Amino acid sequence: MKQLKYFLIFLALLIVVVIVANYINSKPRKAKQNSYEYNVDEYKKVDPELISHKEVRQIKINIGEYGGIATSNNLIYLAADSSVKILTVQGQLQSQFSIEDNPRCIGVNNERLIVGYKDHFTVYTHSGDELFSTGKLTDSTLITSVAFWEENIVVADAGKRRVYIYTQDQKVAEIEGVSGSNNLLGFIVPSPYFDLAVNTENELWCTNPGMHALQQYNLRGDLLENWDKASNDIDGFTGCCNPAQFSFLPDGRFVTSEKGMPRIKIYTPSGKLESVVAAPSKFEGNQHAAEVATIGETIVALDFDRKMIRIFEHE
Amino acid sequence: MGKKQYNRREFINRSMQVTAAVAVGGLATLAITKSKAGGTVWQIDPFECTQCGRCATDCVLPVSAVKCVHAYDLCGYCDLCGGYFKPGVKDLDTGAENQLCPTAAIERRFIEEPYFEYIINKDLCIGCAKCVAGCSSFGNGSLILQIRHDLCVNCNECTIARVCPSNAIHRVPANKPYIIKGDFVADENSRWENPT
Repeated sequence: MKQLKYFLIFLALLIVVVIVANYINSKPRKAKQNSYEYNVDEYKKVDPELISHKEVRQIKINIGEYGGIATSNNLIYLAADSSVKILTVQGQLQSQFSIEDNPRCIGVNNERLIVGYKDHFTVYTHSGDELFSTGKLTDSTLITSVAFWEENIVVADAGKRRVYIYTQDQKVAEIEGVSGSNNLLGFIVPSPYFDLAVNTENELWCTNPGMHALQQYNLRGDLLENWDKASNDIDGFTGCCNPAQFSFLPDGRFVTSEKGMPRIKIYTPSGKLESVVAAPSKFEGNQHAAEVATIGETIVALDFDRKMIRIFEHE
Repeated sequence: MGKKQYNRREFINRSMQVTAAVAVGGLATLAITKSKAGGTVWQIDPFECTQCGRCATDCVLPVSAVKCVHAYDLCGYCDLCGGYFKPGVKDLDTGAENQLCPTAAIERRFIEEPYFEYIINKDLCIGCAKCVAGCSSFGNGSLILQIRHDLCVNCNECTIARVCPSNAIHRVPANKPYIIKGDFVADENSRWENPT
């Protein structure tokens, strides 16, 4: 009888040990290697030799889901929330004025500002006086980028996958875009990232994100130049639709920003990777592409996820 | 006006009718109760999921009740799909060596140049989340994992939830059993109403 008692006590202890061991080993940190895990960290690594810029400043800002930046005369123009703020590259507020809620993008020249909203845009003076505003462009319009192009205003509409050219508030032309080697009609815009910019030579360039391309068009909508590079490697554009955003350095080099695996890079005018401004590790956990602008060789990035403007200077 | 007398056959018939009525009523009550806020089921929050792959290995079922679901309205219908292709593939075709899915559970259908549709075959899907990780890392994040309630046995303690490193599996009301990105989902067999 006494032996049975000891046996039962031993059995009870054994059961407790098994339960505790099972509980501890099933904790996530103790879990065994999972053969199905898909680790994409490999593609986030960047050769340190390629890094050309270092982050020198972070400017905290109030921004929701939408907003935009542009640069002019060494100043940063931020359209976010319900205002336009004009900041120095050191982060000092120079001036600001109120605008409609939820601006999505901004373009600047020496005399005027364009602010793009979801389905229309408004032009202001630098002191915030409204010059004119368009009505809703179309029911499915989603404006993602605006810029001045000589006397015209160019507007990227991701909803309609078109680029519009306006003189004041009158549309004078529409670019349908060309995609791929078969010269398919239309831009391929799989997600709401569709950017355009005008360089110092007054060339209009647009992204064609579904084709991983940057393209130059003239006023008639003719494709003049195209370069593309789809690749998970550092020299190409990853994923479904990149580059998401881009800007120009003064000498015509491209500064590109990608979504999915966020990173900022510099390409020569012919599309050859020159250097990396910010590796994916700089945007750990980010979902959105940073919007980019330039002041000389300085790269200004609007980081929506961390709600800050990040300044990268050449090392 | 005496009490009605039943013979044995009538008594058995009546008893069976009453039993059937009670059973049907009970099931209906159970279904209604389950669909009310009190009834809950396990579900993965796609916004918290980190695609660790444990849904494929830790479900009590022989093949996991977790399946990939496609939120089509978020999909870019891209040729180069990060959820379908292994990174760095040479050719964008349906060769097995190019596919990320270990069970070839994603069907790639040509729509028109340059668009392709990606359809999940839930019978082949094992819920490993490789495609979800690929889509989230390189694409729009339209592929997500969900616990399919036509397969899940709704354990008292979900064994996947226990090992989930991001605590992405919660109990949700049984009348809102799916947490879907976008406005609607569809797979080859069914189209569900927006449950969110």
